[in-house]
Amino acid sequence: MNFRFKRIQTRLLFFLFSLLLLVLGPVYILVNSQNFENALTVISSDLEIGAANFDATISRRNESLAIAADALSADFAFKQVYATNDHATILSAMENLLYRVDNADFMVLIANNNLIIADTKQPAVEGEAPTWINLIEQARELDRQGEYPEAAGIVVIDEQPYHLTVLPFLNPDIEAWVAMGFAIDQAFTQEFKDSISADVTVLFKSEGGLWQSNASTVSSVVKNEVLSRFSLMNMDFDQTNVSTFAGEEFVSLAQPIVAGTDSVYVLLQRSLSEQLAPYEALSRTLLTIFALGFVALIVGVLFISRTVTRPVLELVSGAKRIEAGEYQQKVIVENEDEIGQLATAFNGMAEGLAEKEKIRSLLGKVVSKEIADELLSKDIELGGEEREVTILFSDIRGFTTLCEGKSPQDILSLLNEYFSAITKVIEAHGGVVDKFIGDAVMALFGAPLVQTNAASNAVAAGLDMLNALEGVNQRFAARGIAALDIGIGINTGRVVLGNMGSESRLNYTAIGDGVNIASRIEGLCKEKGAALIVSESTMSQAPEFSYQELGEVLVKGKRESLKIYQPGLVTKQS
Amino acid sequence: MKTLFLITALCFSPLVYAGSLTVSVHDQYGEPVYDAIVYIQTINGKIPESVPESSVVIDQRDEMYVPHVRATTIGSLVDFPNSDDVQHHVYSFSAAKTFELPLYLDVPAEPVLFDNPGLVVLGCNIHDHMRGYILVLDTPYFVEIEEGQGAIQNVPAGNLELRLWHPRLEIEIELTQQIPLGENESLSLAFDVQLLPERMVRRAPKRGKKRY
Repeated sequence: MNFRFKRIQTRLLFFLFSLLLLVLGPVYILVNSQNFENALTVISSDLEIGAANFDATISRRNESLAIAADALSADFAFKQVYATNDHATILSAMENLLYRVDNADFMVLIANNNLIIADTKQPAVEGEAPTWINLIEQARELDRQGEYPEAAGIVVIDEQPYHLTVLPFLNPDIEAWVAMGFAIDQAFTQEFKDSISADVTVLFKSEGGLWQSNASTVSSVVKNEVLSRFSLMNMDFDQTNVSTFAGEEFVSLAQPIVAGTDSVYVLLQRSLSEQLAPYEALSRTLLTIFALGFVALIVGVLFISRTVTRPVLELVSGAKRIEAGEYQQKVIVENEDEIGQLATAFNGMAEGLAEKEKIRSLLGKVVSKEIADELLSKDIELGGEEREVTILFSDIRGFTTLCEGKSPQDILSLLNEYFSAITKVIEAHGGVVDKFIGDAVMALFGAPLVQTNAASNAVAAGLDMLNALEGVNQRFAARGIAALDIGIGINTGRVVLGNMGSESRLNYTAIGDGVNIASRIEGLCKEKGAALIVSESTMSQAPEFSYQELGEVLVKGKRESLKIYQPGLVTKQS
Repeated sequence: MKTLFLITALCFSPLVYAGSLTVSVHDQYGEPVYDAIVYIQTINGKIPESVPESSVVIDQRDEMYVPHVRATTIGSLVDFPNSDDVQHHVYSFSAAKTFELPLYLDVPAEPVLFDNPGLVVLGCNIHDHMRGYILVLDTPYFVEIEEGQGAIQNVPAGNLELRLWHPRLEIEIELTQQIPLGENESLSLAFDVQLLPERMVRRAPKRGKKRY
């Protein structure tokens, strides 16, 4: 994708934000994933320790019960009681003994024929077989093998799992069996939870094959999900695993409470989110740092871009003002950096431009606009070029007479009015007033800029000058001033054009025979009685006009004679 | 599992009136058996007359009953001297005889009368491992097997109901066999019995804890 940023601010923001993201993003992801891994490892290890602990706790309790049962089986007083064959007495003695044993919930005495002699849990029961004969058989088998006949296991009685230990009643040979049990109930799970800080759920398979729980430290919602998953057998609980219960992630580990008995399990769980809570605080701190970094970044970018773009925009508007020709207003930039330097240079440039424009405008007044442009367009140097131009000379006849009886101010004003009128005409026809010489005007056509129809322009200008003079004379007449009479000479010839004078002061002008001839021709006007005379060379280059030949004249200082003409229109008018 | 009960009857020669039984007993490993009692419960369906024994002694030595197994006739008086330095408390809660001789040294004042047939298991109230057996019989024809051998003399001819008892018989009941015995006949009988290992009467110490 090819992005183009319209603003430096956006570019900076994008760049710095990308940089921030590139540095902090991986840090954040790494920290988070490490935290998760760590929490998982910690919980898994804790749960495995917890499971071992559970085994040890069960085993310890069992051992204390076994010791008690063992003591009972060797108790002489109990043998005497047993010999009474009196159910009530035997039961009473058993209850008495049970009372001495911590953590034991019930005690059963079973005869060698596997029938209950007395059961503290069901005082009325006598002569029935318990559901856990298998434990007695296990013990009996050990006896057969010459080992001490002791068996332990987990049994579910009335939807309550019990841990049961079975030992022989020695009188002094085995005459009966003593069983002692403790309930794995809510109190047990709670106590165990407190010691391993993991949630504990006891699960057992009911007769219908569905799993039930009689004791759990998790919420009932979580417990129900655990039960349904156990019932569906869709959990691999033998290893620690992470799964979601009631929207909360738990690490879980299950094992049979007694190895080999797959119908009663203990499930240890710890909430992953609780474990992650301190890490989440860290994560939040990181995010806050990121956010603060981002805000600082925006502020920084705004600040930097303001210091860059504002002066740049200021420079842009400055440049636009200059384009529009306003040089006076300076660009104000307070920076001292490169942009400050740029602004200073810009202002310098503007000053230079203003100066140049001022000169150009002044020059345009002193010299003609075209000459001024010519002068400004290239390096001013002495010397020039030789080429063909058309030169127009005009002169007021009888100027000296005219001046008589008039103040110099009046004369100057009169001249200025006249010059303004004819200058306008000359310029209108592409001519350039080269200089005013007293009451005379010298104008160039085809210089400083080359014109293809310079001669025609000059002739047209001469004719128009005469027309313009009529207008001037009418205004003079209104003011009681005598009419002016002028003569105009036009010649086309090769001249030298350029700056002439000294190093410190020079004029752009034309010199050469072409100029002299124009001046001479102008001088002939009075003699020939014509207001406008052009040389042969001019006539031949301006064929669109009608001419009247005025003869061949010998110009002063020239060996060859020269044909002169009066443009036709002029004749008509005069 | 059924006990293999093998009887080899060898007839040999003719003395008069009464015959005799020679019994050899071996266990499942072919080892000679101790502490077994072989006795004739009936002859031709009748329990023979017996007379009480006069000087039955079960000693207590090194915290053991000596002999470990003893058969005697009904009505016998048994003395329980204590040859140890520590006192013993002899007791039995067996149906054939319930009695106790509270802690004592040397010889108790009175012998104990065994006036009902049946097995009497002896224990000691203060020594759980002490075990003794007295088989009270209503027949005078019995022998205590030592080193796998024993003999019953002067047995009247007839159909004998022969029984074998041992405290560790696998099937936990007596072996019974009908044997015809001719006059002046000497029978040699061989029993191969299936015995359980010695019974463990103490819990094994757990997790390194010394419990006794």
